[in-house]
Amino acid sequence: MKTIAYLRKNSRLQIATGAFILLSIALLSIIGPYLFPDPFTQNLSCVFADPSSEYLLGSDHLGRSVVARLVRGGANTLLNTSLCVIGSVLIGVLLGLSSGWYGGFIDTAIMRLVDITMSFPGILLALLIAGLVGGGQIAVVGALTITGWPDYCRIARAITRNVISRPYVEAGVLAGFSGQFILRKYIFIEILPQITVLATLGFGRTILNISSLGFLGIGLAPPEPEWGAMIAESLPYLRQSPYLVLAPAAAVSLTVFSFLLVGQPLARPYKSG
Amino acid sequence: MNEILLNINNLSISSIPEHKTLVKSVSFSIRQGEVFTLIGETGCGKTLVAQALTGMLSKDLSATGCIEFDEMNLVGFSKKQRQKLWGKRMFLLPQEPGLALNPSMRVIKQVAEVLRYHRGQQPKNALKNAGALIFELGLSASRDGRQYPFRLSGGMNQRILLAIALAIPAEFIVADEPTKGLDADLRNSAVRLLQNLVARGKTLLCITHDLTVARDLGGNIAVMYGGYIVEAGPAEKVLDSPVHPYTQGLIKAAPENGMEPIPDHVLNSMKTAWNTSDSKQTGACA
Repeated sequence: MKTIAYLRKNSRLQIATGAFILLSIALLSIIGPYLFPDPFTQNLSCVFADPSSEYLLGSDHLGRSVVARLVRGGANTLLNTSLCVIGSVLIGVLLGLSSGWYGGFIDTAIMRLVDITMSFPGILLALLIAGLVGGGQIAVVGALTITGWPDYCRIARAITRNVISRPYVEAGVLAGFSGQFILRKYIFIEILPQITVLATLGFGRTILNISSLGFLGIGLAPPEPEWGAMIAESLPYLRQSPYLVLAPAAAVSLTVFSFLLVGQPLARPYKSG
Repeated sequence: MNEILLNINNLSISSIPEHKTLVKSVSFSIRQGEVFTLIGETGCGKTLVAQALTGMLSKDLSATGCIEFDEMNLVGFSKKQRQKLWGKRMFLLPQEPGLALNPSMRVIKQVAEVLRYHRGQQPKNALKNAGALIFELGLSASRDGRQYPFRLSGGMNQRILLAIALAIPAEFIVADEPTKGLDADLRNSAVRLLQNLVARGKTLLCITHDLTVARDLGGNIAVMYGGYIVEAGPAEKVLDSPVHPYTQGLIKAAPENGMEPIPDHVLNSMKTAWNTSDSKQTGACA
């Protein structure tokens, strides 16, 4: 990416660290379920087991392997987060491009829609939707996508407006290129780096939101593990075996922290400019 | 004699909010394969004529009269109708080469895009033909073509633009101040490149304030001042034996002819003449 060249040396190290942790987490989420199967098998004769060779991180109040639940939960959380971010970026960029390109009434309408959406907290909407359809993946992903796109939309629109006024875009129009062609070859290219940076930071935020919703009991149906839900399940046993809470909490913190490690230095050039 | 490609008749451009006429009854015509130069000082309305022609006139300006391009009257053309002409029939050679190229695309690709888009060539062929065009204009396809516009000099970028003008199917090219910001050497090469366009059968309308460019390009010229065409005719005739006092003054005002300011009485006498003939307004750009 072009931005990398502008980064200071120590920020490159920071990004590398963050990326390394993220890749490890992603890898673990992908191959983990094969290494640690059975996140659902209960063994009531062996609850709250201490870490051992059989239960790498011990077992929870139903005698299920914590490490198996952790990697399975990580896969679920990361998948849902990716769906949210990809959905938000798609909607945001598409609406932002049309808003900036067409201007006039379309622009006004989309921007007011952005204002309305931004004034509404994502978690609240998710609670509302969950109340209506009864939770589940669709409710969580849907709600966070619906409330997540305005940031991308605003950035896409701002860059589009900026690029449109440059002489080479006018030259392109007069060279007979269609609007679609110009949007693709002239404007989208300018939007891409900033949206990528924003999405990296957005990933961290969405993981937090999804975990919060999981903690509140909205999200995947119970036997299916999820980091936020694991914290909520184990909270009553905090004194007895604190790592039951600490393990998923650490997983959430580490992932969000790594996204920040990667995203912040990438965002720096845009902030100062 | 070739057919008339563009016939501008009584074109007036006025600003809507102030009811000020900026271009007044301008008429001229260009034959296919010819060069026509519109010359005049800054603010005389020559760029407005080009904008009215290409349809880039700003919204608070309105054009009346007749711009007949290949038997279509362009005044009152909708944006959609215009779009069918852009690139296919007419092309505006942008003013500043450094700003007119897409900064995030290698220049050879920009020429190739035009070939792909307008001539339907396959990507590989388009790239090869673009390279050939760039080479013809004196640049190396493998070295210069692979650069982004900001790595190339103004003159090189201009060659790329010319390559695009050659690649584009449009036969009518409007060049708005093609020598703006270029030194004498580059100006001469730009003029040669423009002549190259004409030699390949394109029709050229060149808008400039540079008398040397007008002389070197040849063809017909029209001298504009204050929104009027004050004198028109073949380039040598107008520039060697100008009839109108403003043209005489303009030639004397050129640096190589002593940079003598245009005498005030010439400008004033024109203004008085316009005021009496057209009582509503004074010369807009005077």
